[in-house]
Amino acid sequence: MAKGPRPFQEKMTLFWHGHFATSYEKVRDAYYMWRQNELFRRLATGNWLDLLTEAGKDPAMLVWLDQAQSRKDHPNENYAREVMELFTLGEGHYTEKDITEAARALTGWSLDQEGQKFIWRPFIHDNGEKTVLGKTGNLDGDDFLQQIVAQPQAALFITAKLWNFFAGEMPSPELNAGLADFFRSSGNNFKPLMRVMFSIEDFYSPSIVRNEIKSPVQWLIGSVRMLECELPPPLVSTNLLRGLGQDIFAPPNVKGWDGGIAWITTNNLIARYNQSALLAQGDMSMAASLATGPAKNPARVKQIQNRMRNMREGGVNVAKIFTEQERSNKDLLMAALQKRLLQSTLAGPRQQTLREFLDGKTELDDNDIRDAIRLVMSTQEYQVT
Amino acid sequence: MKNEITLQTRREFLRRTILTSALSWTVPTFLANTFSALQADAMDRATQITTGKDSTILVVLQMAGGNDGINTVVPHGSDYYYKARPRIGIKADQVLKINDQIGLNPGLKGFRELYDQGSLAIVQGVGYPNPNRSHFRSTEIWQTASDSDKFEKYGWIGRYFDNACSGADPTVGVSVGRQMPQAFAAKTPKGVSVDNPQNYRFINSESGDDGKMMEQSYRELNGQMVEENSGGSIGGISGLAPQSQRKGSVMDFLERTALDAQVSSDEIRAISARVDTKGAYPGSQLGNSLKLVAKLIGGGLPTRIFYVSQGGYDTHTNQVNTHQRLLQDLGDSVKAFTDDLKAQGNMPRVMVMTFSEFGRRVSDNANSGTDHGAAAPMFVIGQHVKAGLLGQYPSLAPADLYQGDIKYTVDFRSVYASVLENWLRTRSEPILGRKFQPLALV
Repeated sequence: MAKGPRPFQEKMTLFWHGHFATSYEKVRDAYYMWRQNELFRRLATGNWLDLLTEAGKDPAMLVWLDQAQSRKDHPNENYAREVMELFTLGEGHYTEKDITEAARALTGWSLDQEGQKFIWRPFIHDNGEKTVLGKTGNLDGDDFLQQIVAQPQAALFITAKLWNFFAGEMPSPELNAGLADFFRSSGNNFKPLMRVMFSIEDFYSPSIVRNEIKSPVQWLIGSVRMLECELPPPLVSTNLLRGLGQDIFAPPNVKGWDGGIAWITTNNLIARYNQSALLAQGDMSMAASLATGPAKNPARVKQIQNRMRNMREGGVNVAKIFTEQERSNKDLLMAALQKRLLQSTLAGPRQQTLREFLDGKTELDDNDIRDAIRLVMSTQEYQVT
Repeated sequence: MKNEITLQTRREFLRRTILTSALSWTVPTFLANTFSALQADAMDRATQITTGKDSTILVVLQMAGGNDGINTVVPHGSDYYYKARPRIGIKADQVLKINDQIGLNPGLKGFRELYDQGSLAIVQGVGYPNPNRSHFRSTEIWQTASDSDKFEKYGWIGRYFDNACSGADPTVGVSVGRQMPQAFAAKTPKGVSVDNPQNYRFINSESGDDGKMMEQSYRELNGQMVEENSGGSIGGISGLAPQSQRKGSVMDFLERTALDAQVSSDEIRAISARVDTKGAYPGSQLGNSLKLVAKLIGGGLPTRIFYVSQGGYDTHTNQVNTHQRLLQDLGDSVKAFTDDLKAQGNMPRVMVMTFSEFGRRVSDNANSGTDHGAAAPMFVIGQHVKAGLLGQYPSLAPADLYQGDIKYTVDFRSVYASVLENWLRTRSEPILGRKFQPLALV
């Protein structure tokens, strides 16, 4: 997302990762998690039924929601329930009977552990007649998913969720109906839907622009792009994100991440302010607390941490992002800082504080400008997008 | 954000003194009646004022994952127990016996000591009607104290804050960790979250005068609630959407959180530097959390509710050793905590209450673990706790089970009601939605 040629695809991949929230904590297989992620990337803006079906048959999901253990004499209802409750329809749009019948239909979907792939086991499939969401017959998993997508509620549900992810709020019923209609008429394909979503006026309404709290991933990626600096090494980045409350590949539960103001607690907010020192100033002391080494040798870990605390590495290349005039003229710098980091302005009193900070220095050197960047990143305005 | 202590009438003064000082349990009956009448009177006026530094404290301890109550408070006298759990049943000679019917898991030595000292109450068979076996749904039910078929937006502790703690310090609720539990969700958001006091501050990369300037600017940026529509631009920036088009809620929330963070950061760090703890805490997350709580209490932070969490109880496979280790962590951490409180002289003010989102099934499963169940025990620890057994141990007889689970004998909201009314001294009905009969817990 930070440097690749297809940031939107990456963002959609992140959306699907949160939507089908599957955690490494249970799957315990890096290959499966990677495979699932690749699937999301490949079908990120594809067709809803295709994505649903492939995601349901993907090894990570088979393990995560226990479908791999389901069999006709003992069907496991976990996947059947969650696919309707959380992934496609939402509570209230199916019955408990639908769940038990769907679980029967899904039997036979299983995991070939050795081959590390989906396998259809006809001997454990319940061949009896079932009725799910109004459809009757000797249904299997594919039939079940098809029947789900045929429900009007399916389009409403997923379009609302996408809108909420990108706009930061749930759509009004009228907007939702409009988006759902369009989605269905396009054959339940996401590419046209997203194109429409980003081009309608509603998306740019004042109540939406700059009112969504950035998720930790958005915070990190956005910062790295705006500062035009490198993403920290993977271990530091994942620990950083975890410190901000988002454990990539390990969402807290099958509902994914709540998002919105849930990202902000006193602890997380202070953490954001401190991590900005890592990015803006190259201050490694925060990374020191993140580079948790093997607990077996705490003395060595402490040694490394102490060394890191005194390091300054990188930090923003100020000349790269601000022109010479901007760097030498405080008025221009104020404007440039706010434009680059906020695409907006700070509230009056905060602008004043920032200005006073700059005025406290006679000549501004690179370090001072980095400090100013760090301060802007330590404001409330910086947390929204 | 100061606590305002208004002593308007002599009645109110008397009410406050006697009913809010946690030590005077020996009020003669006739006076007690008078004062409960006075309290009822004051309750009608619905103003409850927290008294800050000397008020009672509740520590809520979440056992996350669904604790297997049947292997925690072990019914060693029951044949059904051993029949249902051929793989994971705990032998009678290993159980820390309480009586000839039940005892504690061998890992709970710490709790056993507290029980013998008269500081531990075991509330048996706690659950609710129509139990839900989904982790997050059942956790939500416990956190919001809702009926299992209803959805509540705010948490029970949040509603307590709304009802009884308006104007209180942001640290009136402290959650040890990075997230705020749903229990804290309130109309007027309150509470702070912290896990490491060292990092709970603006870490300055500059030193000397530069450092001072950074620090000062940071404090100014985050130390105020700016009024709406003040997003004017000093530098003449044109063509940019003004920040002031905020909904009021998001920016407001951010500002308030920033302010709370600053205020609480100063308070908490000062205490953390000053106060030392002596208890023998395990080096676990729970141990560290309770150690921090002990410090904060010892340092006089005006908190009323602390929230800590211990994870790992979702024991679907090979549970015996894992479960015992978790319980040992629990028992030892709480014991160390109470030791510190006693050394500080704060033991009379504090009560610890554990809960879990559900218990586990009576029978063990093919993987020597257990699946999600229903009712389970709660532990309540404190000097003023009526130690012993409360509620009834649910029957394990197959005929008495409901879908393979034991039936609850105590609704968890009764336990909440007991804590709210008899410990936190506030009416429970507005908070829980209706009247739940408190237990004789305190």
